[in-house]
Amino acid sequence: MKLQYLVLEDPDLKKNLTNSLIGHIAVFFLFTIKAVFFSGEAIIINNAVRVDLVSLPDKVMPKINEPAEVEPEKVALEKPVEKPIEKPKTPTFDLAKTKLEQKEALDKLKNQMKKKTEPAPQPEVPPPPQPTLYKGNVLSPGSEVVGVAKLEYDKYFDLARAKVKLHFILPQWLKDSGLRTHVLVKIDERGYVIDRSLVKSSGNEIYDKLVLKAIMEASPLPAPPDRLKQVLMIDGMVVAYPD
Amino acid sequence: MKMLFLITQLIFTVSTFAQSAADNKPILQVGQATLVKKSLLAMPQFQFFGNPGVSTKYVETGKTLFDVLKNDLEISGYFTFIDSKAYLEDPNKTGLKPVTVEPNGFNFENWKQISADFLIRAGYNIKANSIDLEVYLYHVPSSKLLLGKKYQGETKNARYMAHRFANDILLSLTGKKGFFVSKLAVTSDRGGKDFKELYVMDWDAFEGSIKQITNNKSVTISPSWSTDGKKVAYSAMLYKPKLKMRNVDLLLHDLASGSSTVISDDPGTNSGVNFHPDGKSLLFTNTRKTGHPDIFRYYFDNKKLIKITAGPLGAMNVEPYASPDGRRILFSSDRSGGHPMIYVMDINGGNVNRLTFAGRYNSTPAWSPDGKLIVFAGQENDHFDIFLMNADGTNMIRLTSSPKRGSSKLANNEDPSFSPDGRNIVFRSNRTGSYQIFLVNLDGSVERRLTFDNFNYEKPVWSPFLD
Repeated sequence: MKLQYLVLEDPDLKKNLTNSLIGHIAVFFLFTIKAVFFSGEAIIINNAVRVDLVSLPDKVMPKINEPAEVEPEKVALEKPVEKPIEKPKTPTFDLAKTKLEQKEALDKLKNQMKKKTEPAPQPEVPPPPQPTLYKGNVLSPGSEVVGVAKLEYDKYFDLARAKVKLHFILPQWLKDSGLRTHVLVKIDERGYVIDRSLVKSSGNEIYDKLVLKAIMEASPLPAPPDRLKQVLMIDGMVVAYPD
Repeated sequence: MKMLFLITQLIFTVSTFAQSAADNKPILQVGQATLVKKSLLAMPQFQFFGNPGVSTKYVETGKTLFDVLKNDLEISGYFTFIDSKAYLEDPNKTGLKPVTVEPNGFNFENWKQISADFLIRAGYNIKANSIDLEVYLYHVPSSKLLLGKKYQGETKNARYMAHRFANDILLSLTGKKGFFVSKLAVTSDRGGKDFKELYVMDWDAFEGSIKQITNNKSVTISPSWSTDGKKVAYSAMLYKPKLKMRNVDLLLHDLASGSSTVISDDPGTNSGVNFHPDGKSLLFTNTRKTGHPDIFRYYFDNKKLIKITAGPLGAMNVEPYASPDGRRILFSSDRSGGHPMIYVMDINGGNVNRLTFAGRYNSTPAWSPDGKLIVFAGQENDHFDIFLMNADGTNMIRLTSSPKRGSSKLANNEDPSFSPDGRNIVFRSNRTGSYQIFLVNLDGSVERRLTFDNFNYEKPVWSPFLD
């Protein structure tokens, strides 16, 4: 308490405090002016990125189909091997017994078929009300494929794409050509290509022919699902190389 | 007039319906081909049209034409050559054109039977010191002529003629010119172990094409071609009589006149030069202005020097390489505080982005001619290898990895430079002992040695197209 009193009573204290305050403010302004108007080399601070020391990638050799060098055709003179002729064995059986077994089997099959075709007794249910047909009230099924159908379609086109791609072998010199060809392909219900025609040429005859050849070599494609059979056989699909 | 209008309307309507019908069909997008193959090429020896008794060097000239063309086409990576033993007809007894065109012509069926994709037929004649070369490229499966040309030139330019034909073949097939008429600038100790001088040679480093450019009796480093291929800038340690010491100066050499002029001789380092695509300026590293290596741009017209890199303080910013569009600069820097890595920035030095984070020391970055790829040398353990990545730093692949001859260690593969068509990369490697020049394609599947001597080569740089 005594010390505090003495400090407050010091006559130079106020003056010294004022000088100190002015000095500090002056220094603050000097540094502010220097920082704003006389800034040194800008220090670029980018967003912090966590960098672990990672390894550079190893060398991976790409796969290139090297055609086998053509050698002169040689005709092998091999002695043909004679195939032993198999003599047909004469069956020995009891004709009467076989006929009897045949008749029994047929009767059994008839009975089974009869059971299957007979309709099971059903409770009487009134038929659902049929909408009255008049012009304009028929809703088109539309072209959008959704739900299970879409999954089915996607699965089929993925399989077809994989098959077609497997046969699309491009010469190295056409690899980066950026060419594009569209081919209309029609397939039957077993997946066999029944028709193919260029709908958009790449402008390069060799490329177009390679694409058409690849499609023929890929035939048969996977058999289309029931929903697609008619579409792919009558309208066909556009196979786009590469997109 | 009314009829014409109706016909036009009809055509428009039909085409619109046809288009909409096609639009409604399912589309199967096959995607990019993942399987590629080389094409089978039949190239019989070139026929000599002249009188063997009159022309003395016809065998040698014919061999040169054939060998150069074959080497060029092999380097392209597009072809596999069919062994001549497989030919079903004697090319010396048939003409250069098919039998449907000339009576004694060749038969396409004979080439189809051996599965040839392409057939090259060529013949030449020598008159005094002049060669007339006639060449044809056929697509065998379609029995069509793809390219037919006649070249004329001095016999001493036989190699050049063959290179031109190779270029034309690639142009006709791919629509893009080949690099076969281009050169390499490189520094080497060919003149003696104590010095490294600047040399220029054909892209295939043919011994007869190697020409010494400088004779500074000094160490010459980091050459760079001008955009027109007429000048080469380089750095050399030149003696300064006033300072009584050597300094790394930046010089510009005019290939036509053979004279060199000093661009920058600031005390310190003036090196790592690269021509800006505008042809009016160049980028290089200078140490005097800031006390540490920074990148500057020098303008030829007003001789102004503009500082490009700015900090961080004390960081090394070197090896600038301007992008093909001239808007960005690749460079290497240790500004991350650790090992040198590859960075890219705007041409004025702003918008700096780090591109590589892997490895211990990444250097000598270079753009591909289309600006989509970047090649650089990266060190991981005790050796450098060549790496390729997209312009944004993604999809990095290693192109080289080779043991050093007579050692259990791996060799250094450094100083990559793109060919002007962007299909190959030239670099130097010590895999055979001394540093020799090698070539690698963009997927690393084909590597080829270009120089076959015991000298050391440094910083091979590919010229722009010279034809």
